[in-house]
Amino acid sequence: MSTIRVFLVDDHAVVRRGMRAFFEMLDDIEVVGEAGDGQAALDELAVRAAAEDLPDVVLMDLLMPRLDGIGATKAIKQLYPQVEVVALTSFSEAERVHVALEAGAAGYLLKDAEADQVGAAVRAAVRGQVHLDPAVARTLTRSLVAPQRTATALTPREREILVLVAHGKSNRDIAASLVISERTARTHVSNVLNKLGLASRTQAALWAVREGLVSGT
Amino acid sequence: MLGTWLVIGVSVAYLGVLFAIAFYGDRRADEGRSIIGRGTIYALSLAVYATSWTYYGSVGRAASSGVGYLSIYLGPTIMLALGWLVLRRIIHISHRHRITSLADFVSARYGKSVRLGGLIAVIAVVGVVPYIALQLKAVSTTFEIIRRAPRITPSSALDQVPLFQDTALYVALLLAGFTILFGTRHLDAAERHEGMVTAIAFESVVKLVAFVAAGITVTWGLYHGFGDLFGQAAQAGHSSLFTLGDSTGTWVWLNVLSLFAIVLLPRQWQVGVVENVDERHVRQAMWMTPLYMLLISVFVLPIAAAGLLRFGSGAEADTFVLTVPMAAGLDAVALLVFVGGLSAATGMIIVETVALSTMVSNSIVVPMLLRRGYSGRLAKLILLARRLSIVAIMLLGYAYFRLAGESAALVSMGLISFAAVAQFAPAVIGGLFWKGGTRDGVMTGLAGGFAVWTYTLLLPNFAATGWVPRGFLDHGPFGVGALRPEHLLGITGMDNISHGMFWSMLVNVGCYVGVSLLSRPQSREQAQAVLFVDALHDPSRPRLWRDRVSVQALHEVLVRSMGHRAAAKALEGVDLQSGKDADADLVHHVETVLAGAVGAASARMMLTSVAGEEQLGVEEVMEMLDEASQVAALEERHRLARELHDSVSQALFSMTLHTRAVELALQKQGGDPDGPVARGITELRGLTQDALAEMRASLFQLRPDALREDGLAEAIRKQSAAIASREGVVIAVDAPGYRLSLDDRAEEELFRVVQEAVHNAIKHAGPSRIDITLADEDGVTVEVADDGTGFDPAAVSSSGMGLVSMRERMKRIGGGLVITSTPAGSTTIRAVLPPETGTAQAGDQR
Repeated sequence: MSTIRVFLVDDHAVVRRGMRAFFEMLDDIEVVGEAGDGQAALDELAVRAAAEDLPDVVLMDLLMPRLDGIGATKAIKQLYPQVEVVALTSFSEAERVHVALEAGAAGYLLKDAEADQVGAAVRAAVRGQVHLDPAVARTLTRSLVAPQRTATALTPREREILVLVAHGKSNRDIAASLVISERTARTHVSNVLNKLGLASRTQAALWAVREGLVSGT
Repeated sequence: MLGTWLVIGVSVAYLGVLFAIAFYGDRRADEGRSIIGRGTIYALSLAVYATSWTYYGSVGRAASSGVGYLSIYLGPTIMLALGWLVLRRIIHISHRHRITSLADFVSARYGKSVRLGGLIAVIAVVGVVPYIALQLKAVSTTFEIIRRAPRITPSSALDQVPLFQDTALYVALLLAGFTILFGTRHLDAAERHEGMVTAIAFESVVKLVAFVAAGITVTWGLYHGFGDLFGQAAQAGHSSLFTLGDSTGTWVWLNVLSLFAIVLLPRQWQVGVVENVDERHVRQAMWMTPLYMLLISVFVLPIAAAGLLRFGSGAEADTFVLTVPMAAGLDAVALLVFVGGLSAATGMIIVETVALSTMVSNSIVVPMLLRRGYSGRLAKLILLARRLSIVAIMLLGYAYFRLAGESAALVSMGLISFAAVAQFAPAVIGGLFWKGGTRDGVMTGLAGGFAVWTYTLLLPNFAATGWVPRGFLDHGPFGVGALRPEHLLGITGMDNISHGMFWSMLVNVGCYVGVSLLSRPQSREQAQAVLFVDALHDPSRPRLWRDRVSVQALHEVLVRSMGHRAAAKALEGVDLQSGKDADADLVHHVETVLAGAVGAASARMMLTSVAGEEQLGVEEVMEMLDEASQVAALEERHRLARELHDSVSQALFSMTLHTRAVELALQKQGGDPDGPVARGITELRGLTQDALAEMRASLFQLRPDALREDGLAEAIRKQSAAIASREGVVIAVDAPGYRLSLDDRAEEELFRVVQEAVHNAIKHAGPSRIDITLADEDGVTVEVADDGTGFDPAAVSSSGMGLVSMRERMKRIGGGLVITSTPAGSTTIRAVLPPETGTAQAGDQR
């Protein structure tokens, strides 16, 4: 069995070093390269593609400067479909998982996973399976079974607020543009979230786009 | 023909009736059948505002400056119309914190400052004692006039009566007795003096009846109604009656003064706030007290007109109410008027001394004793201090009257007193509506305003009395004209009250706002600010104290300051023998009880002596900061969370990878799997993993919206993982994989209940395993079960404040708490939220 060739992308050198040290001890996995952000990773991979030396799996942090993990994942899957990407991050919010999986990630790990899980996720990705952290799996199920509400549940004022949220406005902005207090704006936003059974403003924004309240970009 | 002895007899009889009524009121209260439980009595007691100064003086004002006298009644009407906004707020706060006086209130608002309370007490005494003197003068003068009936003697022609023939002295002594008897019945000054209030309400009726009776007799008995009376006055050329005698500026200032006076005069605070039994009574007072003022002011002009017609415009108008009926031979009416004036004066004196004595004892004497390290029994001492200050204030008032009574300047003391208490307005009003006001701001504002008041109003009054050379007024100190007390910086064209008010308010408000903006409040001040400003939003939370304090220590403090009976009552149901530490709720409860007896600032000092400094937890501070700083704090927390995540979390994650790598390397090299290195590495990996879990949990706590983002089950899981690794217990969480549809509040309260239950279990039961179960069938049920040592729920139900607070949390969201525990076995705490409560859907249907 040939070794699995892994490429590390993380803006924390300390994490990359730990990863390297760990994979060095595994017989079936070797680290072929690393990068400090999404853009550097793409550059590096382009060089490797020319030399026909692409890795099998990219371990991808999501939160990085320049180009973040989602963008990098999308680009990698587009340019080199044969390369698998496993997302590795500290956040377990449902919408991040969604977005990462939609971008083409073949796994989603949390940065408090045990070392062996990281190895398992890499192997699963090569086998064409999707490996999810247990906590992530729970979050995902939750968001799948979450009741889908409709915009009719909202009052006109709340719809107005939702549109502003979808445009990325902060509570302060909303308060200013509707001439209400910031406290009131916050209450409205949390009412909207409650009614729609959503957990964050981002979800609310996505929801608004999906329901056609605002046009997506 | 009224003989001296008849007048004395009637006066004594009247005071006797007053005593009887007060006795009756107190007896009814003791029997639990209170008669002040209705708004009418409250509204009438507020009319203690109308003193003999307004009773006699309004007519005097009307005779010289027409309808100008109305401002004294208009201001209060405006304030009472705003009563729901201001007065109710003050009452709400005062009752919750068992505040005993205005000094106590302001001191409590600005961080329970002792010095601030003392300053206010001093200002109140200095400002109000001359006012008491004025009442005594009215009693004395009217007595001398009426006993000489039918001869009309202008008060200026009355010689100073010898000390022991002076009615005012005997009235003062009798009233001191009355006040001690009915005004210091309880040690707890926050408790009501029902007998006193009943008597005051009765006095309000008497003075109204007397004044209206005089008005009717004069208008329809001596003349043929209003038309006739005013017609004759107009013909006789007394046109001053029909003008607004003062300049508009003065008139506005007078309105402002009386507007504040109806709440800020110590006696008004006493009846309006301390003696209030039900906030809803304010609603009744909002129309009833103004109506009272309207009724008592209707006949002011007619009596003034009749007086002018009868005695001419040179006569002494201040006694027209009395002299007009006397001149017409209406002896019975004159006597009634005298009794009305007596009631107006005595009512004011009684309540004012009670209020001042509470201030003096709780804001000056007790803090001084405590500061000097007095450690004996306080209970008796406090009562003694209060009684002695009553006598002292009464005698002070009397002495002032004897010294200054001859001069007409005393009459103007009424308004000057109003101006003194108006100095409290920025501190009180600002304290209610502005969280930014600080103790330093109030101190400077009050001190500055008071200094200007003394200089521009009190000194000139002293000059008029002859205590300060007149040249001082006319040419300024050292001949500096710009410093002339009544014309600061050369301002002319304002009367002295407007002038004094203008400057003192300018300095007071300016310093208050300016210094407040420049100084940073301490956390305790901020905490109090939020408690006061957001009083109606129910933010009551117990404070934290640095040191642990045992229940016994609290008991001792209570016994020391309130005696055994009161202490036992306050700690009813608490186990005193257990030697346990008191929890925050209990300490808070004791502080509130103490505050009722000795004032907020002293209560804090006493608790500090046993419990260390008051300390605010991170969470409390966060909650108490006002919105602007809250946002800043949240941002700070987020920044902190981000940084910790960036540095520590990543490093920890890397450490788990490294240690695993070392472990594997060791295996490869064929090292002893049970050797010290292998075991050490395994242990190290476990520790790192735990640290990572702990880190995640604390990051989670740093982001307050995390609960909302992650949902209850996930939050409990993270929290439990952290606690489990820290405390070395197994915590298993069994929860549905989907997010429960709970509203924010229910989610928050349930989370805290679980947190508290787990915390209690670990602290008291020493379990090895805790099972947390979240079930979503037929409502939401959260169960926390431990295998620890258990306890007897019946034994701790009353004192175990932790359980109480969990119960309260559940009650707030419409749920309940069931505790099953045996002293020998495990404990299960089950929080149940019935269907359709606290769920997001229920919120939708509203």
